[in-house]
Formats: sequence, structure tokens, C-alpha cells
Amino acid sequence: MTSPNPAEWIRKHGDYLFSLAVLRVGNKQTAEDLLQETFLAAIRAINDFRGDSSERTWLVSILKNKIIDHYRKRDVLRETASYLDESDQSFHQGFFEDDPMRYGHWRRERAPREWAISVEPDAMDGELGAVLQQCMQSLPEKLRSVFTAKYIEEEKSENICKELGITSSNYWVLIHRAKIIVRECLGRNWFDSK
Amino acid sequence: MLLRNVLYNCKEATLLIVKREQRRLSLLARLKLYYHLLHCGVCRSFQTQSMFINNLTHKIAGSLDYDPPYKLSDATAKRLGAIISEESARNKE
Repeated sequence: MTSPNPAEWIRKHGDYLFSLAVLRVGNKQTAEDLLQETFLAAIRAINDFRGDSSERTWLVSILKNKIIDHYRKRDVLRETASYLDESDQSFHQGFFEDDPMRYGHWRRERAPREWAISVEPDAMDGELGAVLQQCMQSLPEKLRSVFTAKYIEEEKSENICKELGITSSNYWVLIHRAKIIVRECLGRNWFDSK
Repeated sequence: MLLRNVLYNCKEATLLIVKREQRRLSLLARLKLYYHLLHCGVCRSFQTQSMFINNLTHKIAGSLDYDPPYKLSDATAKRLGAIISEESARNKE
């Protein structure tokens, strides 16, 4: 068993934890604050570290709790149901037809166009990843909190609902909207202009 | 007409596409989506692109380990380092 060595944390895990936090909360300043809280909490709990997980895994689990606290404290997902109700119409009208004859069809100008997706996924360069990161950051906070929990932390949907205090039907609406918006953003900023 | 609306509803179809990536759909939902995709090239593109985005986020998530996209500035690293050593010292007292 190795005991944790706080003096090495910044060098060994700093950028990793920072990147995870930035992707999750969409903001470098907040990410720095969360990192600081994480390190302080870790030092105070250092005797609880059992060594049955790696030091990094342990720090990540503390950071994840700090991120959940951050979203909870600021009530980001408070009144999600009424937020979704209120914004449903503008979301719908933005992307889909309202006309009863074509209800629910993509609006022509917002409909996905084909992408020239390379067959070889490794051929994708970091630039595309950076565009996607930008797209995730620019999501409205409610959508980002759920989208990045699912796709960056790769958390199970049941856990996300529990942690963020949302119902499963709200979860699906949030994930759906986020995906539609991220897809459009990636298209507009990458594929459609290639 | 009603049936037409149900079957050609891209908003619902894209929700089902996203859901299917994480869940098993009910038989009715699977049939609806199957039928919809048979007729809707735009939603077929959406489906492909949605999977593509999943793969890309998965790659980003995996690469955090060895190639973190955001780096702490030197000043921040220094500041956090100082806080850590201060707190460690206090903790040992």
C-alpha cells in the first residue's frame, strides 16, 4: 500500500483533475475553486485513504462530490420541470416544425446535413475534440451538468438522476436537447464548414 | 393523418435515438423508430452523428488521463501547491 503524497498531487494529478472539472462545470475559475476544495478535503481526510484504490481515483471521487455539491448548492437543477415546460416551445420552434401538417419535422435550415466522418476514428485530430469541448461549454448550465455527467464522467443515468435530483423523464428531455444542440454546434463549427 | 404525425415526428424519433443508446426501448418504441428511420434520411444522419459524438466524448474522457486538454497555469499550480503544503503541515500538528 502506498500512502498519499500531497506534495506530488499538483504535478501528478493537477492537470487531469483540472481538465475534468473544467469539462464538467464549463468554467476555469470555478474549476480552480473546486480543485482547491478537493485538495483541502483530501488532506483533512488523508487518514481515511485505505490504499485499495489509487491516489488518483480517490482524489477523483472527492472532486466528483465537490462538483455535485457545486451544482446542488447553486440549485442549477431546481425547478427543472418548469424550466423544461417553459422552454419547450422555443426549443421546439427552434428546431422542429410547428405546423400541424409537418408537426415535429426538422426545420429545413436546422436539419442535420451529412457529415464527412472519417472511417478511422484515430484520424480525428485534437482540433475536433477542442470544438466539441467548446460546444459542451456553451450549453445552458442545466443541460451541461447532465450532458457532461453522462458523456465525460460516463456516469450511469440512474446515478445522475439521484445526484442531481431530477426525474428520469426530465433526464431524457435534458439529454435529448443537449444532444441536439451539441450536434448542431459541432456541425456548424466543423463539418458544415469543411 | 394521426398515424402519419406519429410516424413522421422527428422530435420524438431523435429522443428515441438518444434513449436507445442508453436503454432498451419498448417494442412499440422500437417499431416506431424503425419505421421512422426507414423513411427519414435526416434522422438517419442524426443517428450516425449522435453515435459519432458519443465516440468522440468517450475519446476525450479517456484522453484526460494522459493528455489533459486544460493545463493549470504556473501561477495557479504554485498557489495550489502552497495551499496544499500549508494544510498538510497544519494537519500534522
